Amino acid sequence: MNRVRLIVKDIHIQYQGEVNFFTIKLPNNIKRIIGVENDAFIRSAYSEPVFPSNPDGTVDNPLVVKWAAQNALSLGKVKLQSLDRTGIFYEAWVSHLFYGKGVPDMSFGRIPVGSLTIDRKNRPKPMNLRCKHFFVEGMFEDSLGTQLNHNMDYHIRIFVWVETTEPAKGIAFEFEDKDFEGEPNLLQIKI
Amino acid sequence: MPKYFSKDFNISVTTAGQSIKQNFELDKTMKTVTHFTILSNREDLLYYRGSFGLDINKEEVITEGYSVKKVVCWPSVPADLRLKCIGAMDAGSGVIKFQYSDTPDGLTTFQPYTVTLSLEGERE
Repeated sequence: MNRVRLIVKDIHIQYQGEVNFFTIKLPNNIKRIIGVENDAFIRSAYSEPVFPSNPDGTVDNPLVVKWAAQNALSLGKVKLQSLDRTGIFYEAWVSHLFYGKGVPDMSFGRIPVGSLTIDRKNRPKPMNLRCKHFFVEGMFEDSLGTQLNHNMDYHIRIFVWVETTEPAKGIAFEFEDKDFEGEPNLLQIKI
Repeated sequence: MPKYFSKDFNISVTTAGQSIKQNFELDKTMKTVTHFTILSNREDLLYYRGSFGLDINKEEVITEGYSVKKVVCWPSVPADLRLKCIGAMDAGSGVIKFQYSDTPDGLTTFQPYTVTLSLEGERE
């Protein structure tokens, strides 16, 4: 495979329910898009939510709280579109995982790793989009501000991994290898 | 059997929102760089606020602005799998250009912290 490069696009969201349309410029020597990732930086003050099961604050089942507290925060939805493929080629909820969350509750034995933990290495969503055009169009729609009913200030970053026509010069990221098995082989105990 | 090296480079983040660009140099005996990771004495601040860029031997490996979140792993990930593989880059002149940006964040309170760029590779 040729040289893989990373394109970073930063989007600033400030208002409740804001819809942001943006363009990601790709290099002129691009061959294809091989992966996409997203991330968020929250600038507004935000405290980690407490999840009472009932509106009056009482909790029916302590187990529900344990699992609900491990949820990631959904900020909104991002969609990407290219002239090289019909329709939307990438669509995802942008999540923000709290530090220390995602570690499974060990009191019921070891559980399989979830998709929203950093209990394993992060990898971009694989993509094989051959490009003849040098840009990608996208949109992001806020849902966090809508849920909280006030303006939230945060940045969304879209990371696009592209293969170019340049020689690799020894650079080969691990996700380029389809057979990569970087995830730990965890012992799964059935409850 | 090849010989390996592991080298750490530290930078100090002293003010919130600071952007740091620093050059480091590897020893001349270092032939290739194969893995990297980013560590800190305050992993929560690194995780929530950090983004970085990395150039090795004037070749851009990671573009500036890439989230540290995408690199860090829990200690439950086996030690040999925590590092990010970048193939086998020629260390060349051994110049490492590391850019780190601290982004003010609503979830954490800033305190000075140290960011460590950890590199591994082969040496002569």
